[in-house]
Amino acid sequence: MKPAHDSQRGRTLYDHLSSVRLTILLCIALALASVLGTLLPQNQQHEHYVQRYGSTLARLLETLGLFDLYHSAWFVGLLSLLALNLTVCTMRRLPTVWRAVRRDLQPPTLEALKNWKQVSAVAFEANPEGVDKALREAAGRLFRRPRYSTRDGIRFYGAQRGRFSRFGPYVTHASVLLILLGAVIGSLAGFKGFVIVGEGGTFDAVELQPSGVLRPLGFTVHCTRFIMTSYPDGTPKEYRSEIVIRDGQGRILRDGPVRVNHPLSYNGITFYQSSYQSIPEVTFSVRENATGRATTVTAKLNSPFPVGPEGRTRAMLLSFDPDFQMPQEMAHLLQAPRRGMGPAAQLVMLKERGTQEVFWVFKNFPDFNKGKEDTYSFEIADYKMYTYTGLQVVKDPGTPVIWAGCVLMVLGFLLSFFFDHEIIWIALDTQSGHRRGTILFAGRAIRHPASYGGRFAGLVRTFEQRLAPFLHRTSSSTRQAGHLEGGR
Amino acid sequence: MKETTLISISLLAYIGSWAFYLACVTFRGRIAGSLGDLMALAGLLAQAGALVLRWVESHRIGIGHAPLSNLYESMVFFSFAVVLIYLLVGLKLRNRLLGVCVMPIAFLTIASTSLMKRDIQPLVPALQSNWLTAHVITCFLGYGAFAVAFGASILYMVKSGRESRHLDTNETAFVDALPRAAVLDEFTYRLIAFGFPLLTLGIITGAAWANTAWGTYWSWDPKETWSLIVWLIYAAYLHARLARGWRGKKSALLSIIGFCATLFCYLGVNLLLSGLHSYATG
Repeated sequence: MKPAHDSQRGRTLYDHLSSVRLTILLCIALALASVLGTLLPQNQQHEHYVQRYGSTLARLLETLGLFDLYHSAWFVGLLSLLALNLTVCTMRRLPTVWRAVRRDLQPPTLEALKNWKQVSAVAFEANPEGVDKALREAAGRLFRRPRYSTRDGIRFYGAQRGRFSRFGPYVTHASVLLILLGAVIGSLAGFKGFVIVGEGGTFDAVELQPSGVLRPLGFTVHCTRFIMTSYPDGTPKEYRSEIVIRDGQGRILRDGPVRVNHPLSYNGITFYQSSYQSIPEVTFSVRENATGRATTVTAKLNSPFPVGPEGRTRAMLLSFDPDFQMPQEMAHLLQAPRRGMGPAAQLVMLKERGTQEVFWVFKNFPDFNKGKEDTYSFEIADYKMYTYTGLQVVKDPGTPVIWAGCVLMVLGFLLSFFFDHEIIWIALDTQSGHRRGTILFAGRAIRHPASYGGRFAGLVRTFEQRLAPFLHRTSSSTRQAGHLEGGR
Repeated sequence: MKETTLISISLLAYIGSWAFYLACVTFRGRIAGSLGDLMALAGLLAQAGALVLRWVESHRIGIGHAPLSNLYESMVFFSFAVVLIYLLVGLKLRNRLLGVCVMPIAFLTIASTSLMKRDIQPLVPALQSNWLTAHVITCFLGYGAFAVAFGASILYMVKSGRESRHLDTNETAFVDALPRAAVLDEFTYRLIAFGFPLLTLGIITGAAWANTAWGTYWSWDPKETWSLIVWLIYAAYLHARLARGWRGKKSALLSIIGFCATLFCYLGVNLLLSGLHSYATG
């Protein structure tokens, strides 16, 4: 598996692109880049970065693509280079491996066999023809299609197993390419969108992420119900949106619940339970303290509304809690300390001079904040909570390719790590005219030579057992690496 | 017997095992080594019992789920996986110094859980999935293999330093009793070749789960990214070794870096970075 020529000089671009050295460098570069991506916050608002790093550094980091690192040109470039490296490496080496696997066993010389890593020799005294017959029979039982040949009066019996494992690394490489291809298909032909819909609401398009573009779905989706249940200790147990999908004529195409971990699909588009929101609408009764005139106004979260007769002063609802929990340390502020304080609204006055004043209003304790806001008095007249469900809407035609890649990767690992291409040769060397000679066993494994010793010893034992009736074992010598020993 | 009692027993057993291993390498006592193995096995069985009891208890209180859902449960399972891999694979090295290196990983992990909330919590909707068990078991067996590989790499560093200086004094008897550096090197490789497919399965099951839960199999969440970092480091190790013939210090160093990244992926991400796995913090 070494490159065709190892010398640094004369290496072409093709050599570099197919080198394992490049694979290792890319793995390390991608790992370092990914570390960086987990240290710098990703995909935040620009202001967030300016606040954190200062405007100059923030602009520099942004230009380098470090705030959307995993989608930046250079990171995608590294991934593409890895894909190219795997492709070129496979194109270059696979034909060689293919030929090596297709080619039948070539009878070696006795001298060559003696230099193999695993060698074991048995001297015998018996009729060579009987031993020959026994060896053929044993080889035929233990291996598929053993080979026999004779050279210089020495009989050779060759066998191999696990040839297919040679393809393991290439299967793995193909699986990585398939996974990258699946990701590309997903980003080109798929979309990810998000929609917030209230109970009873309907939508026929979703807002794409991160572009914000509206994408029509080609059907309408109606949310009939959103249900949230909890365990006795308050931990959420289930979020469920009941949805109905209809075509243009109002015919039901699909309906059912969307739960976390149980999405609902129609026509390649899948709906996932993603989030929920309780959005309040609060009606205030606002009294001008100087005149005593009262008006009512309905407020939504974070949208300013006019206050007073001329509407020159504006206020905004910052938050609302249908049952406000007073923090324990502040409970002394109330005459009757209770933790569940009922509906509470947090408001801000937006005055002309630009000063802002934030204060709380409690429905059950209207006097609580009197005097804080001197011009107007606020009271909560009524409120409604609207429940909205957040659905992730995804089309990703790349996922079957991804899963195929994953299966292939596991298969590639099985071939690479749990099988090996093992070759064994047995040489029967008889001195002519004598009823004695030696049997030489030689074996090697292509990928994990160091761990072959144990299996080779077992194989030799099996052969010797099968040969036992035919030979009087006179002596035997074994040279083999230990069970775990070896290396270089 | 109560689950907490069994956890305490396993903690004591692992510390005892470590002490016996220390005695074994210091005084070269064979019996101490066997006692160390037995203590490790006893601790493993106690932990297995604790996991089963917790599982049964969770069903009794009506929120039945595998005890693999929060930081405490995952740390108990992590130390379980480390000792399991050590007993299954590590003993083949026939050298108790490996146990001296590996057992502290197990008992320090258990000891640190004493500071955590131990109550059985119901599963939030995102965790209610059949992928939970497969995902956690494959990931943690992979982590366990990397932990034992890390121990072997440390021994390699010690041994190869000794071999290269050709020192043979009695002061360092236990170092000389180590297997040859080449054996440690091969042993590390075998563990990584075992852990790498398991980590890959862990990432794949995680991706499949994320795809049914959130509609995206990969979102560059810190946990996902760190698992990829670990994967890339061991992928580099395997390529360097199998295709470029790296042996010895360079590959032992990659194995050590790989386990440090594994630890960060497991604990550092949960405790220091925020993300989708943030429920596993306490």
